[in-house]
Amino acid sequence: MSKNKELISKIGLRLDGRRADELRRIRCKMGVFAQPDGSAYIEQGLTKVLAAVYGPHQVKNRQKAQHDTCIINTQFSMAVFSTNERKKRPRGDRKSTEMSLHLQQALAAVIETDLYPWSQIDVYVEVLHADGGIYPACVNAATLAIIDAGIPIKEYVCACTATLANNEIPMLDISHQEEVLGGATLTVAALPMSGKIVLMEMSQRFHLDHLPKVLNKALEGCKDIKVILDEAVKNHVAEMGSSTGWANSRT
Amino acid sequence: MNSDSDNSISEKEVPEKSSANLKLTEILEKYHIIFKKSQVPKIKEKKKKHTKKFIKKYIVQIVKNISEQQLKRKIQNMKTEVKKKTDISATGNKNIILNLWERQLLTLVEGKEKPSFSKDTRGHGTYEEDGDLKASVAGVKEQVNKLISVRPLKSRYDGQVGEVLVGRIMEVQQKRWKVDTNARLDSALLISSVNLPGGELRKRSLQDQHSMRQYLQEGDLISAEVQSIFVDGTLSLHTRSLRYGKLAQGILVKVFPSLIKKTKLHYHNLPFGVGIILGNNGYVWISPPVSTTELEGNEGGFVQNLEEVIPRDIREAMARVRNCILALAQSYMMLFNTSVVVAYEESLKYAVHELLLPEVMIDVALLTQQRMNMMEDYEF
Repeated sequence: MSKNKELISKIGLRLDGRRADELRRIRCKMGVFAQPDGSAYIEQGLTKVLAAVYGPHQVKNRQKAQHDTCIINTQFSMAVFSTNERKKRPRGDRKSTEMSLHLQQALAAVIETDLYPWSQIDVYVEVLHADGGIYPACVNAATLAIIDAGIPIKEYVCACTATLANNEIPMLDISHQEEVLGGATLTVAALPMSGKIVLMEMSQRFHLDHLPKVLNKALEGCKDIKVILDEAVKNHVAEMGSSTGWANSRT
Repeated sequence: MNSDSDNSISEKEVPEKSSANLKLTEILEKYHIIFKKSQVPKIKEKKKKHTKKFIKKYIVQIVKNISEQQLKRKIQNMKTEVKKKTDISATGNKNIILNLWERQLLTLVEGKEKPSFSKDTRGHGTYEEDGDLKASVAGVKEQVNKLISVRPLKSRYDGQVGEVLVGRIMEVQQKRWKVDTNARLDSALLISSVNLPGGELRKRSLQDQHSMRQYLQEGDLISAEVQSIFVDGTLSLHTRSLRYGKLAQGILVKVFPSLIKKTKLHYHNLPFGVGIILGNNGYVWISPPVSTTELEGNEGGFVQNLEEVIPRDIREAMARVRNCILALAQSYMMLFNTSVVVAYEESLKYAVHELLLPEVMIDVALLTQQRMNMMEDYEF
């Protein structure tokens, strides 16, 4: 594609018809599997991610067990058919390992690990379709899956990407096409309620002057995502609660 | 307890008293450090200083001589009065109406460093942030007096003493078996809490420890009861009843623990010739009917009869029960004696293998739900 093509048209629309501060459509579902303790599926635009949570359970590797906290074990993998070019291996390459580590850091910030000594929580995420913003989709899916598993967390952890279009307008939730065309992409994982940033990553060099506005935009995006996730959780709990009769209620 | 309206009237009727109290609290506001309970020497000293200053100021403003002890008692009395008034368990759901001085005192003592006046106590599934109680899981709020907890609708099995479990032996260790019970940690079945062949009073020798694998080995399924919970949260099980012990021929179904309704009985012989154990931990064991006469003998529940051939109709009924339980679990319906029987009856119009189709599963669950609702209507 031509490099001079503008990311935002004169009337303020992006290539896929969104405005600069609009997210792609998010659709999510909790409790998609019966086997894991918690699971979730999320679609952000065309990016599709599945997450499954097992645990807290007995630590498999005895030496790793901690007496005061639980271990969080994450595995990121991308289906071989998720990208334009078929991937050689779904996990184990350098990018996947880094993703797993980043995901683990984001989750460790919110999970109340000190409640589960000698235990382990496994989080598996699988990207079914990659169309930009893979890491944010994984974080959001993992958050939902952890809530579904009934694991106590301090807050939602949400992630979002942002970039600068035409060198002046901050732009939210970057699709793959925009990632390729545009400049540096800022990925932020944050706790939207308290405004804390858990993880921040920049794909390229970037002028410091632009950082605050792009960062603010990304944080706003996290807050928007949190609202969407919150609604999904409430719907799910209401649905599940009404069919179980609020399971073994004492009151 | 007087009713609250009396208290609010007292504000008008006895203005001298409440205004004196009001003055006192106003002065106290500057010296709120007095309310600190800390025993740190630095703060203790500060407290002493502030108390002295406070008394001086009080005497100057109120023009009334008073000893330190008297003043302390006075403040203590005021505190109890406020405490009594704001106690949720005593006032029920009546509105709490406070005088100005009471409100001031409440803010003073409730101030960031004062835990004894906190309104709610933190239970499971909650955490405190900036003095507010927040939920950390998505689920049902449960309140017992001041204790507030949130119970997630789905989680790992959280064991309680006396509950019936189905578990799988994971490991044979010295003196104990490690059992997977879907809990946070593997449960322990101590050799001292099983009935070994030879009766209750048998001594457990080293020989028994060596031959533990003969009784139960890795992969065996057992039914047991929670005996106690260790400090680290591990469940300690026991099988000291003829009901419990090794499971032989049957089907294991795993569902979410919260879907098992807590009832008195978890062992059932269903009317169509199927025995079922609804383990509280979400493991459900479906077996041929268990006859109570078979339970006799003193083998201690470690015999497995794998030779016996189960007739085809019973095997089919067992498979049907399994599929029905899966159908109910998929629609998040509670599992207990009646719901399984009803689901079985509703499923009879389908062949057993058809029950695995998603639309059939939903149909069975819906029909069951309808009949359960009808039964509830009859009961009341």
